[in-house]
Amino acid sequence: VSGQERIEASLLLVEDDPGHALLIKKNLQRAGITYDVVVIDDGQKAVDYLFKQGAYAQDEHRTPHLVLLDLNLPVMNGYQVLKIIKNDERTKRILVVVLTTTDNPQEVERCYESGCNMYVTKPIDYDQFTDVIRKISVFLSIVKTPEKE
Amino acid sequence: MTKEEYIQKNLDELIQVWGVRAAVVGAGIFMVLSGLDVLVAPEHFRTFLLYRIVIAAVLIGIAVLVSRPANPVRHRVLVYAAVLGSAVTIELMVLHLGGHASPYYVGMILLGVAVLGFIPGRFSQHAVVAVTIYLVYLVPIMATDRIVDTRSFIMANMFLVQILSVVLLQRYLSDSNLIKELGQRYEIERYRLHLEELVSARTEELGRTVSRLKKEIDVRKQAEAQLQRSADDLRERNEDLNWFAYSIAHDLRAPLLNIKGFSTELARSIQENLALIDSPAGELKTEQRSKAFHALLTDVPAAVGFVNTSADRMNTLLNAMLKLLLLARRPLRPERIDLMRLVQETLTGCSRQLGEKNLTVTVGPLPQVVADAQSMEEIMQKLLDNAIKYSPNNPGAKIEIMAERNEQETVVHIRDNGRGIAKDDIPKVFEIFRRVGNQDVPSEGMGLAYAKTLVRRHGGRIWCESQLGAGTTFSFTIPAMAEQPYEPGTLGGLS
Repeated sequence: VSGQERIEASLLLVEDDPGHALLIKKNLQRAGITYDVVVIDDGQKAVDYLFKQGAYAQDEHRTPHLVLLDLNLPVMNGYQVLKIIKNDERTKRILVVVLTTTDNPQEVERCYESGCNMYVTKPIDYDQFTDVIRKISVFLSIVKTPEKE
Repeated sequence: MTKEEYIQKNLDELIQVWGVRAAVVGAGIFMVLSGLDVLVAPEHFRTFLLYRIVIAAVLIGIAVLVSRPANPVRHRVLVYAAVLGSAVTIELMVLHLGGHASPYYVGMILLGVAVLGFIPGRFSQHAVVAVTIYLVYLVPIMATDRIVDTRSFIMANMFLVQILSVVLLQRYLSDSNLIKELGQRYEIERYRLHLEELVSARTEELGRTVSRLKKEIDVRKQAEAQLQRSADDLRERNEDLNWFAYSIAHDLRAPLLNIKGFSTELARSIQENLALIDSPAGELKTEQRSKAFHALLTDVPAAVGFVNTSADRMNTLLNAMLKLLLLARRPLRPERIDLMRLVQETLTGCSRQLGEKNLTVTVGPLPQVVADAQSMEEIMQKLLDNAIKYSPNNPGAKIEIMAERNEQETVVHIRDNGRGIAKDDIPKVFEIFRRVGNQDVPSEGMGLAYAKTLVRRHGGRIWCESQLGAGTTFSFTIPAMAEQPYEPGTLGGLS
């Protein structure tokens, strides 16, 4: 990100496995993602965060430009979260990358139909995992995000 | 019925039929011949008309009596009475009109021909009738009349005797034919009866064969249906097994990624710190030192912690899987179980949790079932655990346990008024390690999968109906035929 077109990007990571969350954060940092990564571990809370409601009603955060979304989440699963994001005028422009262990083709299709921007399976092999996160980071660094919400 | 009886019966019937006809015809002839009285004996017309009316009335009366069913002897006596009455009437007219020389002796001939000719019967009876008629003619004349016109008298006697004899002879021939014919009819009848018996016996046998075949078809149909059920069941179990394997493989990935990730991070951390230690002493900057300390004090234990929890998680998953496999293979020992007692015992076991939540439990009348006792306890335990776990913590919370029974199965319902399950989530509740809704209640997510496995092993079904906010009803069936519980293959009964 060059100094001239400085964007205050922010990223929301929705992931209920704290280990996975930590590994993803580490690898994002290593790949040069310097901006804030907010981690939330349940689908309902993620929606509340995005719409500044519930526990986040008084919160003063910027709406994230990007959401890294796991599918298997408590209370509200990732698929439901995705639908809510993509069906709301306020949030539908947010880039949603589904990042999950599931590689079930039906699940992949369902996510794309609901408007996910990218579907990525978490590789078990850690080198591959690192590589995938690095590539996502590269993708994120070149994607132009809207200046205004 | 012997041949003799058969013949007698037929003769009796003939006498009845012809007796009636002869009496009616006789009455008619008596009345018609009053015309002759006008021509040949007008001076006796009135007297004769009286006789004729009386005898005609008597004959009609006899005809009515004979036409009614009664003892054949009575019929025969009535017929004799009719003959005798007729003969006496004619004799009275003979005596009035010239006695031994009266031309009305022809009436006797007419009577004889009519009776012997019309009424079939045994020859002996006919002979008696003929003799009676002749004696009724002869005896009163001999007793009261003086024979003057010998020629006419002899002629009358000759004609009477001759004609009666001829008719009697003719009767003798036809009667013996009649009896022979009746004998043949008897044989034919007997043969017909024999045939009928034969046919009915054959029909009965055929009926038995048909019903045996029907039964066999039913049995085969049942076997086919059973086979179809087993096939469906196996297919479903196979699908379950696939899904189970898929779920296990999938669920093992998450901890595996953690182990791989954090062990790699650990190795990297160790290498970085080794490099620091390797660098010449004193060159280690404060910043680097603090970084190394941070790594050793925070990052390393965290990574080790993650590796550990992940290994534990894998262990939990594998144990749950093993338990499910064991449940699916454990031999079932079906016995008669009083569900009421079983539920009461399970409730006693849960009394602490029930007390903590102020739960009211209503248990409806529950029947007896034939099932594996240990399995039934576990099913009840899991479903009750589930209901208690997700019941609200307030005085209105209640759990109802009910059952209904039909010929095929017993259906047990466990209803709570807890928070309910979202429609999309209902199919997932029986999946292994799946938990739906708010995760504020600690649970392994296996209880319902175990319950499903055990119900399915008994050949039953388990399902769930729910409304968000209103409560959930779990229902399962135990088939009545669980007397011989369905034993799946070693891989069956999963999930």
